[in-house]
Amino acid sequence: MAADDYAIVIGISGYPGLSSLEGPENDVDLFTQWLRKKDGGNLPKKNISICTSRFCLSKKFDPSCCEQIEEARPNREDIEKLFRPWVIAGTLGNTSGRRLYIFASGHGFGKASDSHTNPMDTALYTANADVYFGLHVAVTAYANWLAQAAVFDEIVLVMDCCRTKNLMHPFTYPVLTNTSHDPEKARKVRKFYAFASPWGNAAKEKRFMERGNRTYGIFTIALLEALAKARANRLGNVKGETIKKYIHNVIDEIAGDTKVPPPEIDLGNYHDLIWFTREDSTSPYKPLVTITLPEFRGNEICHIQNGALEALDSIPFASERLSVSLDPGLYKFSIEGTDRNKLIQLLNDDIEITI
Amino acid sequence: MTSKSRSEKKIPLTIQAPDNATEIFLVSDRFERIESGIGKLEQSVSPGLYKVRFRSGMTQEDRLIEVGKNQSQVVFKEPPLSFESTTPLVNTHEDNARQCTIAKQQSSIVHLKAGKGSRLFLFIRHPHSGSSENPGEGVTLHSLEGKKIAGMDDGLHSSENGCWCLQVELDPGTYRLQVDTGSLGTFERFLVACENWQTLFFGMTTDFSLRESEAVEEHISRVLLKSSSVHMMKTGKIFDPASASSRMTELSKIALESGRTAVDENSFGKLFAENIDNPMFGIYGAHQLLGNRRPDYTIIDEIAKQLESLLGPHPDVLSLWLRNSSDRLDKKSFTLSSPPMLTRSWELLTRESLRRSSIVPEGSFSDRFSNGMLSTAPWLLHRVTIEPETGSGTPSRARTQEMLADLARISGTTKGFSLLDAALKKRKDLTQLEHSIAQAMLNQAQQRSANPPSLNKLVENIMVPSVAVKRSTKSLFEKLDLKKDT
Repeated sequence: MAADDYAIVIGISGYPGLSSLEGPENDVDLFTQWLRKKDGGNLPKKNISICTSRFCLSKKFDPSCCEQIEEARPNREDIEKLFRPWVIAGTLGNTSGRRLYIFASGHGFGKASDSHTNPMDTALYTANADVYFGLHVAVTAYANWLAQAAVFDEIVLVMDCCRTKNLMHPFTYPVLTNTSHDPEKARKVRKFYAFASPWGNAAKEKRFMERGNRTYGIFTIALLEALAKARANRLGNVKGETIKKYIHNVIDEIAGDTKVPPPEIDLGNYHDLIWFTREDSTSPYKPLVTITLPEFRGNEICHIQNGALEALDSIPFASERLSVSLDPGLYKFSIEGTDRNKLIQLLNDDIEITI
Repeated sequence: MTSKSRSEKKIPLTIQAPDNATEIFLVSDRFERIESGIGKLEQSVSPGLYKVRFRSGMTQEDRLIEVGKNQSQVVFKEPPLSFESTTPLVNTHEDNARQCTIAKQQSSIVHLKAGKGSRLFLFIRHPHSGSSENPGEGVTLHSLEGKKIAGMDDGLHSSENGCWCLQVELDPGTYRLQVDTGSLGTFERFLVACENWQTLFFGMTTDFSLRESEAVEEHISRVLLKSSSVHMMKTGKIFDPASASSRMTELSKIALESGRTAVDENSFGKLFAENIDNPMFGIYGAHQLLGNRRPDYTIIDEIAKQLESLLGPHPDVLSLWLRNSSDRLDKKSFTLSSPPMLTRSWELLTRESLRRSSIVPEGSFSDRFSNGMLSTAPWLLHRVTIEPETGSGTPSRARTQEMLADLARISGTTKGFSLLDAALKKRKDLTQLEHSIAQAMLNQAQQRSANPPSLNKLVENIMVPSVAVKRSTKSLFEKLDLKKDT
């Protein structure tokens, strides 16, 4: 069990003063499940702090009623108090654990000015925000401060929210101490900062039929798919770079008809962090390619070449279907003695092709 | 198999995108990016399999290609990609032949005369032509002073094709296009009409009903200003939904909207010349390049000069000169009294107002609209509210700094802090600008910072011209009725 890992998980769906969302609280459920899983984050339940409308509101509150906007939760205080123990630890110069996960899903925005000097600054609107008063929590500012203070060895920040800029809502930094931190310790904090969209862009949610017709943030689904399927290295470790590449390769497919901008994922300037270690790393799953020959004659041979066009295998068809397991990559399948061939991209899912 | 094991023999690979605004990414068999380009990519590679990603607007398509061992060179050309377009263009997601035809036909017809010298063409459509509701519902065109020029009834509605259009002939200048969205309020954006040019505004409707749970029977369908598009052409010309320059201009607008650069700096001059019949291509492209980390100013300056000679004093062109290193001779004298169309221009203008406050003359429209500006990329939008009085005089920079220091000192006391906090909680009593200043004061008090927020810092954070910040500081000071002994 990862007893030294902690998580702050925030999801805001109900915004009486803005348009409400359907996905964030579902995103929280999914990410929390991954955090709890033995072959996921493996965090003890007590190490996970969850902040959603469900956790903050009385049953009487109706998030669709604009009149109650000032009672909408979570508000800034609800969210900021989750960071308090770690800010106190940082102020006192203490190290609190190995890793802190910060997950935030809801409406958000990017800092309008100084965009080129500090492009990561991103805030999550709190439930009581409206177009006049953009109440928010500068989540990146907390992540950066905790990294500077080296409260944790690793910070994983995931923000599935818009990063459009809204000039009428100045980016408000939290009130944090000016404690002088050890720059060498700060430099060695490993980071994985992932944003659903690049600065200035919107994030999207959509309904997923295959997930019980529920709505989720598209980026959250891409992240969780990466965590479930991205390949481990020979030591069984799934690293940040692998997760990043996986997300970039699958997000369009996950988004389907919904157009999404490419996510922004920053791995920091120190060593890449290891998200987790797969227990079954000695035999990583190799996705299966099933080839169908519509005009099967009984003597065809399938040649398989890898991305460098080196011959990998030649397999005779025993029937009109043939299956082969391969590592992720690009491949060329061709039928001997014909001009029939197909180039394929194999990620981590089984695929079926017809040649 | 890693790329290290590949043959050392390199083969020239040329990847040609369908147009010069489509981004190209070349990816290895290990899913690592090898190179990227815009319009065209040339790279020598080892024989093997590669993934090529094309991005037109928000549409992304992947292709797998083979570079054979025996090939001397490989040229790969991608056919045009369909992308989401607000402007009715051929071969786009919302490609509707009838809407394209109507836009083309009506773009040369004047429906209303309200001046002379230039034209504004407004074309609004439903994404799906099934709705019989007029897409022009809630739309009105106003002069900068606020005088109504035209409304929905002045335009032409094609209910069977789900579109509405209106062409107004008017004097050159800046105009306000307003949309009443019902309970969410009225928003407006600015449109610039130039002498002998036609400015074409294209918009798509969206549902502004508050939320489904309220079981609202009436759907409020209104044009969405933030995703609208603007093109330009010479007066008398006909809009061509199939033209390459319309497509390039639209893609360039989308790139600016999504914070990307979809023009190649080295070929921008040539592309501008090719698309000179639609100067918005040059405006979008120059602002994209200006946002690069190390832009080539000689190219931007050259384009700005050409745009100015074509269009005259267009605020989004003049703003291209507003940067520290610009050597334009009359930079110190020109003003931007009217708000620009683009958010990028507004940002440049507000930053310049710190160096030279006269760039936005007191009481000018740029000053008056500062309260309520909503900056959504790429367009500067404005929430229509009762404009706060601007007549009580703008304090000097020194006096503003004094007031800020007083506010900071007072908000540092328990009583002063409570007063400011209470004012902030009574949301509607303060204007947006006053609220932003008060919030900055509270933050400063909480941080126990010795230095009060400076005027410069406030302008940078709130992103409005310095003249408006000065005046709002004064009005906040007066509204709070603070005494120095609080």
